[in-house]
Amino acid sequence: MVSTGLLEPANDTTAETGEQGDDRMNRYVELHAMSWYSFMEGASSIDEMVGSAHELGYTALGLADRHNLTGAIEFADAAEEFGIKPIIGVTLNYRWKNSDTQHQPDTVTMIAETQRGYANIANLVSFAHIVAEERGKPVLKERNARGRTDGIIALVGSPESQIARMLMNNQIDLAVQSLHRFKELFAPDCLFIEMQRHYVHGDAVRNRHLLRVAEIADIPVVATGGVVYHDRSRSRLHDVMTAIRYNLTLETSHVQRKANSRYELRAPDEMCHLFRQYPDATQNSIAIADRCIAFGADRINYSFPQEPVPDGFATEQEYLETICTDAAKRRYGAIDEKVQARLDKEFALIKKHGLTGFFLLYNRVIELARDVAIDLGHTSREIPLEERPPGRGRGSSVAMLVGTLMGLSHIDPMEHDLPLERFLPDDMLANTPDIDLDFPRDIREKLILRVFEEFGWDHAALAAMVPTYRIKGVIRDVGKALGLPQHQLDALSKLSESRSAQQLRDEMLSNPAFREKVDEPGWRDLIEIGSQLQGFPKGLAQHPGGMIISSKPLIDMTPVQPSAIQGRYICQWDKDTADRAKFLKIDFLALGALSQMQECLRLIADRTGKYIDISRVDLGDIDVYKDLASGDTVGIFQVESAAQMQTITRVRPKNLYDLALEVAAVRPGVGANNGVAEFIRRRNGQYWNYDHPLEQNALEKSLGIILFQDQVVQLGMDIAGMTPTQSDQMRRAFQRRNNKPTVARYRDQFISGAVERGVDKATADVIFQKFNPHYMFPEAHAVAFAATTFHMAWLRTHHPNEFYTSIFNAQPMGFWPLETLKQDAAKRGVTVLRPDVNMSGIMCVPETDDSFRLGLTFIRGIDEASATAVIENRHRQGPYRSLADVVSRSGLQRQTIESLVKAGACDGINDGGDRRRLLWEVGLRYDADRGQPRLDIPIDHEMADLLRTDVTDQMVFEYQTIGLWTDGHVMSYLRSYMDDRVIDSRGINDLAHSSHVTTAGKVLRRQKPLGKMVFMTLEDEFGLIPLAVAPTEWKIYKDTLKHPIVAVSGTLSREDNTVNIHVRRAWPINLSRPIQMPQQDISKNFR
Amino acid sequence: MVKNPRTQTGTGTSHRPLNMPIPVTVQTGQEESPAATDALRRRHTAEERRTDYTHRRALRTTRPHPQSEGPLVKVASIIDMWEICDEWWRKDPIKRRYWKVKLESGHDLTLFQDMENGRWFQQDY
Repeated sequence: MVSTGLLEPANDTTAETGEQGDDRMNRYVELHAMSWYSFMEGASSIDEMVGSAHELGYTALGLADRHNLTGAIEFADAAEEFGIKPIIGVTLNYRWKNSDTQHQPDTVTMIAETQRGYANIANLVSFAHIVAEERGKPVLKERNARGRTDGIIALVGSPESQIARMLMNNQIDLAVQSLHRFKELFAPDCLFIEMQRHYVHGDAVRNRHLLRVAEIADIPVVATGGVVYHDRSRSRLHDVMTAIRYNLTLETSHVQRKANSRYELRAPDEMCHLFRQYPDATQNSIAIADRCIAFGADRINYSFPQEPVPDGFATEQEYLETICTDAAKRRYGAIDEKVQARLDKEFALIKKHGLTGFFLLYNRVIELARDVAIDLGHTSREIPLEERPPGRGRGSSVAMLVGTLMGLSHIDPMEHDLPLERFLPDDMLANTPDIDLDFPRDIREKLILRVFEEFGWDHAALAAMVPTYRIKGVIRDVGKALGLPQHQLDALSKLSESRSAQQLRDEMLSNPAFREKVDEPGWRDLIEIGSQLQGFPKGLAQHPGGMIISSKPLIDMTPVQPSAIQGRYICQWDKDTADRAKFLKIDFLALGALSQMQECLRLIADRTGKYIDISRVDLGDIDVYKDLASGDTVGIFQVESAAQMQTITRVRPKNLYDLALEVAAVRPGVGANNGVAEFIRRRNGQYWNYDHPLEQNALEKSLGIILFQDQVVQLGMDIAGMTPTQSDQMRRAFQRRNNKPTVARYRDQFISGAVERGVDKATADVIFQKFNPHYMFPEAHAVAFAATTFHMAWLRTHHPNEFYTSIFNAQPMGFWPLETLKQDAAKRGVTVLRPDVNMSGIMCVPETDDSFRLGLTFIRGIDEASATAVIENRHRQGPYRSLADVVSRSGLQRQTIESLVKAGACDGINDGGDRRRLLWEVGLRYDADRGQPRLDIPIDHEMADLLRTDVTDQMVFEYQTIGLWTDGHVMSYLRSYMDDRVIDSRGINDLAHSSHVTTAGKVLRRQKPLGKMVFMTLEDEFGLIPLAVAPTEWKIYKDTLKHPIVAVSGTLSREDNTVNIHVRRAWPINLSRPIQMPQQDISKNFR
Repeated sequence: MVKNPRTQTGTGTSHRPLNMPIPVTVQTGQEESPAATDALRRRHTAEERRTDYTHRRALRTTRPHPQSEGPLVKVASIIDMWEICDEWWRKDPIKRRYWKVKLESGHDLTLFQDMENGRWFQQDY
């Protein structure tokens, strides 16, 4: 019999059966598995890896992702569910002191044997990232490793390691030297030589060498799998990921890719069989696993920060209460019984839950924010913090009066009777509460840096975000790796509408250009591998604002690494993982609306000399609510979406709470049970009743419909007798993945609790069915946002010029394009003036009481430096008198000057210069070859006799350079080509329900919620036109409806104060060939 | 006189691939490992060398595998085994299991089995 035990010496000719194993040999623990958190190096999710380990009979599993601990807690949780002991480690690149940085670093697998070992690993990973010469290429350096290896078990000699490379080059002495250095670095008995076998050529030789040097250096060996996927079926995906990682194709990545598909998680029996000649190797895997701690979120040991207490205060609690009481006296004049009672309740809850340090930390942060606001000139030291807070609260924390008094919120919860339970339940805290703060962009940017300065990167870091692959990225990256033609990938990516790569095949089949390709090599692989890659994490990014602060070094708990933005640091855990570890997380969010509000208030103060205290404006101003109820909400925070516009005309808010109901109603969690439509019907007088009288307490405010998260919690308490915490956990259970068993358990608990309280089973079930996993606002959050909505609407109603100036300056705001805002401004009597080299600033500035001029940076190709050059020169030497003057004094390049001319910024010079002539002149004033200005010599003889710029030129020039046409709208231009029967948006207002209508407009947006109807908004020179396209029509006309300007015909729907055109046909409109509609549809419609 | 630039400069057969696999007969033993082979005894026809191996696609031809010539030489030990799985995106993917063996005759030999069709080849590595 021939041996296939492949570790025997080459000359060994003894025949072995491999059947002499006993129970002891047939055991093995995989210590070196890498998941998808190794970012393009592991091709299986944590769940898949742990699931496979369970199926294969593992009792413990080691995760050692490369350079990060991102998946640590997810892994621990998943392993716990399967009864597998989670062993946490990391795979790190390592460099010795004085080693040649040109050479590849070594690789070490480090495993947390003890709690201290875990903290040390988190430290080492942090240092590897922080001191790396190049961001994204972390390497642990010897000087950072020294003194931080306690409690770590290290495995060296993996196939990719420097030691393995030395051995394969027959540099045995060097390898032994290296091993001795590792022996000195790690504690005795904590260093092992890692043997892997992947059926790759060279494995046997390397392993023989490893055994030899292990004997020389007296270091034990351990078998590991070097696992990068849970199953061989993922090997192709891994190949593609490798090509993507190196920015290569499959054809060109032969060296980088694995040689075969044998890097899967193998059964313990198979590993024991493979290493049966060396049972110590597998046995040691068991020994190591036994020595290591079972990792879990409870190992993190985070505790809330403790803030130093100033002199004169005995305790943190006393200090906190004094801060709030002093602020209450300033705010209310005197503290009445009601305020005192609320404060006493909140103080007691804070003390009970041990949150005093938590609130004092927030106090410190908000003080830092105030310092930033003072530095930026937004407030002054004389104005109390709570009177002009630097930011605004959001989320359930707004219900805290303590928060309002500390300046964490702008809403007085007493005025709106906001419930505390969602933020701070009376019984116990299931999760760490978090307070989210919105700031104007400039404050937020500086505040983040200020927090790093104050706490240091080892105590403060931004939460991470894990961006994942979506269909467009899948098509682009996998297609490129497969070597598919780029232009075809671009086309497919643009055509693709589904959110999931799993539907890519169907998408291709539905498209004539790709139908034939689905079974072609390459494209077939794109479909197969693309569906596997969908949802895979791409790497770590910075969360928009979540910051974690710790009194103890953060890097003892989670690694920290530099963010892509200079001066910022992110921890390797995302928001949910940080929450799971019970970290204190503060969300610093940038809210464009607040930047706009700040700018608007400054502009008003510049004009009137008076700074408006926006917190004191009349929240009952009827004019503002009239404006909002008409659906005229373009540019107004939270209510400017098409869905909100449609809803607000039916909800017709009359006060701030109504507005909060409106803001909260258009959320997926409300819409899921048809709640929005039902709420509107009830609000408009339709009879309704509670399913049970016990619902009244929770649902009275919202007419029996669940609009807020808090109401779910309240129903749990009132109907089923749950505690606030139990009820909140039930609410959260709906949002978890794979939650069926948990939700079923809560359903049983809810129904049995309800029956005990006298609710019949069927009714209890009806009430339970109202709960769903989709997002809803907490009530306090809705009120907080409603206040900002009202303030923005108030500014637009009373100070439209400053409102529109500031909204232009606050772009991008993500909703409406500048042209729409310009049209909306015109409706309110505000004129947008084109940029002018002699009048414009860098940004927009009001010019008269009812007009503002576009800033020079609004012209494409003009950056702040170019605009500054133009403006500073104007200030120094006076207005520009001619184009030659602009060219010679500004020193700008030819293309920049051309942009100025096209945008109309030079219309005011050269005797009302004609843009065509000016463009000709620009050509004469620059050297054609070098693009540099020529000498200022007479050019009259070279000027051509050109036709004057006509309206078409002007429109095209301005759309090209500023994205809008100051004197009109593309539809007013096209109107002259259209028949009268093509109705404009004004005309639609006069049509009755079910009328046939043909209209046209510029496409502003297309939304396809949940794959049903497609909702579109067109814009013409008079306003907006809402369209609804049914799936059948969308299938026929989707290519047409993707044109920038379209004409449509269909039926007008006018129901519940909402207008929509149900599209039946569509035609593209092309500026160069505007006549597109066939004669039979609208004869003579287009000339 | 200027040469016609479209004249083919080569014959198209001037490049000859080296170390192409040679079909052999292998008797397998435990775990599908080679137990005996005719690899060293076989004489390959000029046609086999020229045609069959100019491209690996030829490895997949339906042509019958060559018959064993004479008694097989036993494999004394397996020195190494490895697998290659590559070019799966092409029309003819590579999926092979290689065996480096020592024959009883004392010779070292590298054989592989094409995992797509089970056929054996000798190819020195």
